[in-house]
Amino acid sequence: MIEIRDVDYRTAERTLVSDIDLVVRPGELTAISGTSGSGKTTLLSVVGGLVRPSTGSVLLDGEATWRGSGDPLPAMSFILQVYGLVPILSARENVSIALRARGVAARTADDDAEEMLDRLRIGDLSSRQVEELSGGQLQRVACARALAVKAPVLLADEPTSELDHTSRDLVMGLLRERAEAGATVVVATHDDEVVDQCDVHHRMDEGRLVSVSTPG
Amino acid sequence: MPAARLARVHATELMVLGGTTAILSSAGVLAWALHRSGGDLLVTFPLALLGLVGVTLASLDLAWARHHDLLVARLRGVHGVTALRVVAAPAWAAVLLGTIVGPAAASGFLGAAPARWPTPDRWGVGEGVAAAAVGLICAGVATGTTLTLFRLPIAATFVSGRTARQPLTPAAVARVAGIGLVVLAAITLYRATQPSAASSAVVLAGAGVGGLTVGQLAVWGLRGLSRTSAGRRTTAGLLGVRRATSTEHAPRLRLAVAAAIVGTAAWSGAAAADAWGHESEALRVGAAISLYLPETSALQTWQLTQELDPEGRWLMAAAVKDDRDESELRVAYLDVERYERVAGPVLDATTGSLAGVVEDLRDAPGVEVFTGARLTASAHHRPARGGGERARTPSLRLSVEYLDGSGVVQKVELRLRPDEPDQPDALSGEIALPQCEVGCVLLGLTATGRSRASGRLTLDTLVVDDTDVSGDGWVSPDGPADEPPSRTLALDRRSVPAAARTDQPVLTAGDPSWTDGPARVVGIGGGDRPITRLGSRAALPLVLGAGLVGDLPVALAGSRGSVSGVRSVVLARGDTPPDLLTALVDRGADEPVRIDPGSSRALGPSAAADLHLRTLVAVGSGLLALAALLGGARGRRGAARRDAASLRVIGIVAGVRRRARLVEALLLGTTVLAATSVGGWLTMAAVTHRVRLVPTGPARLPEPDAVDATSAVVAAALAAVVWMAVLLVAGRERRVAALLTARVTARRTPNREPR
Repeated sequence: MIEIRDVDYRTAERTLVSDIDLVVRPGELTAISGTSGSGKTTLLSVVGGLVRPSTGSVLLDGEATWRGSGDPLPAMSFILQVYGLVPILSARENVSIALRARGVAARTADDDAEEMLDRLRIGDLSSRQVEELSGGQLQRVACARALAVKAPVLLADEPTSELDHTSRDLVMGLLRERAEAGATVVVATHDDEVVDQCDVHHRMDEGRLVSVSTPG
Repeated sequence: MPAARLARVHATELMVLGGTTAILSSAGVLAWALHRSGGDLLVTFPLALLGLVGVTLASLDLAWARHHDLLVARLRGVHGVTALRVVAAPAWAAVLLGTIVGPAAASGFLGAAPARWPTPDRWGVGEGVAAAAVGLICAGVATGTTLTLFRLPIAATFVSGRTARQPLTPAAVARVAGIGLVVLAAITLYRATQPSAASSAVVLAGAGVGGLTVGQLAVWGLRGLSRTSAGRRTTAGLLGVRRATSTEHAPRLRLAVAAAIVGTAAWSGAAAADAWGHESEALRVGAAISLYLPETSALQTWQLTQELDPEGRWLMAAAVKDDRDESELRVAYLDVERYERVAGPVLDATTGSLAGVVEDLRDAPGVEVFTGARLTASAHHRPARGGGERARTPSLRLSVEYLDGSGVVQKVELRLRPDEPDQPDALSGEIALPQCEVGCVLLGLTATGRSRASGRLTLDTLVVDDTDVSGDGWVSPDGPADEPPSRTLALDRRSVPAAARTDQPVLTAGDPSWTDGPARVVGIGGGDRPITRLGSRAALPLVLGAGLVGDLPVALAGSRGSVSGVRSVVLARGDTPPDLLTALVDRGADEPVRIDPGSSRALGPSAAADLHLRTLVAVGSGLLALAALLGGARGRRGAARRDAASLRVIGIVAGVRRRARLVEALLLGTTVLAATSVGGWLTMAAVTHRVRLVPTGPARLPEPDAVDATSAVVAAALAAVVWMAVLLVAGRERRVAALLTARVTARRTPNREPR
């Protein structure tokens, strides 16, 4: 369970996130929506422990997610808005390396990576350098990387922004699968159809949570 | 983009392009100046080839760094020449600046460098034209690489902007260029095996082609390695290998390896020619100082050194018989007893060192010099068998030949009469000996009898004043080589001192037909002298690559003065007191000739200029490679940040990232080390050793061997260490801040570093 207590995040110029009090439960798909610039990505960065909140705290099962360095907890996995793939690696290696980082043997990690890419229907591209892939393909590789590690927490920032409907549903299905397996899954999006597939929906505006609802 | 901001944003790329142009333009100016001094411009071809690659690389970096500016221009409807002007103008400015800075740097270098660079005092139009030509070529290359951007569809520019690693050179072109290089290398290799290779432009250019080919092979080899066993690598290993084999390293790997190989070959050639020149000069002069005595015989010269420097601390006499014709094998006689003290400091480091053979060279009777005013002889006459009374009581004369103090052969004749009437065979005589106050050398004796006198004369004593000069005995001048010396003289036949016909120990150098050939030489006085070869050397003092060297006092024994081809020399230590040198000059020596501390005198203007051109190529290659590596470092810093941010988000800790960088650096460093040392040695051994480095001739030192495995390994190690340092320093994570990680991984900032 993630507890976000009275979190603000400010830069020298302005406040990006303020007065966030929120509990995200495992087993649920939680959506955070809002217009561009409303603070979704910043909130995910704070939650994931990539940046330190200016005030307040974020706890994962009682442990602060901010570790003092910007390195996330091993329990965290991310689908980044800009994918964050390593250009010199192939699609399979980008997924495999995340598994290896969690102690999975190289051969097993490669096999698991292949399997996840297959599930995202880009198994035939697994040997390609990510430089050679299209935007949608890159996003699916980024999703595969986050899903393959089966981390207890998955923070997904606009995971379907470049995907067609079929692929979007495929990704949301896999996120749902993770949630049903007990993971805490947070999806930042501005896509209403993605929101509709989630269990809880928080809406942000100008850095604040302005509403909460339970779609569907 | 305003000029100031543009210069700030693209400072590294602009500096690398400008710097590369400056290196090349200064090299162009120096090369042209050296060419005017007799150097062969083809020697600089490898540097020109590397320069072309370096400028292309620097231009590509700048063009790619500005591809978003072009994109913006195109989206605004700016096309054609206007767009080219907008995008390429900074490159042109950098090239212009480099073209101006280069000649100024060259001028400053010549002002600060030793005055031994054989360049003209004043620069002419040619140097200006050379700098301008280099600038124009660089500008052309920069324009051409910028134009390649225009060929990219706008969409492709967007797409490649996502990863910022899209190379501008199409893979097919790179592949064809690589194969072309290998073919060119094969042609070079073939040409190097031909008899005319020494003057072949293809072979002169071989180091450049060889270097780039080895660099290309290293790139292919690294990629091949990358494809194997990727699945079994550790995380750090996988990341390190993938980084090492990424396309961004390939052009710099190729250039670094090529530059190291070109530099090694050029440096080895220059070093070999320089060492050859120094050694030639040392052996030509024979010691730190030499003084020729044109009007003095070898004997007088030897006596002069004995007189002026009786302890043998400073001076050493020598005589050279070379007819001043390099096509002739030459003979030099040195007073080797004084070698160690006088000539050793200069010659011991050369192949012509006599250290260790001094005693062997002196292992024969030396010249006996006597002084005095009267010659006295006593002898016994043995008549021939069957001779009558008249024959038994002959009237005998003893003719004595000697070399006087002024080098002139004198002859006196003694009448030998019975000392006692009852002992008619015991004879003696006495005569005045002119011109022997300074020193004379006995040359020969002839006993003659009146009318039919016959038999033999046994010489009991031959005394000048109080000194017995009869020596070890006498032999016939044209008798068999093994004729034992004797004091018995056949009447009416000339005899010479046995020392004059003793084998003279010598060292030989040069033509095997000479060293294995005749066992006699024309001695210092013109007569035949049997020799014993102690061994053969690549070169010897005063005769250099062809001839023989022996001991002067041994050669003077029984020698009839100096023939016209013999030049007398006094060799002197570098610290010889000036008054001693003055005394020599007062006694007829020419002005002292001091050994040239450089190598230019022995090399001649053309080879000396070539030597400096090779040095220029070596230094230029290193600077070009360094510029290219530093140019890549900035881009690498950005990539390192992005990669570090991405990797830490997926849980790859700092230790693994550090090990990955180490693997990358070690792999690239090892590749550079292996490719450069092996490739460098192969290039030298197969191609560049055929290039003529020095003037050749029968009486010169043998051509130096420019194949230097040590140089290849040292250059390779240096290149590997420099590159590893650049990789590790530029790639290190400077405390990637948490905020930076968040920005890099959260924002679409593909080609702009978070600030």
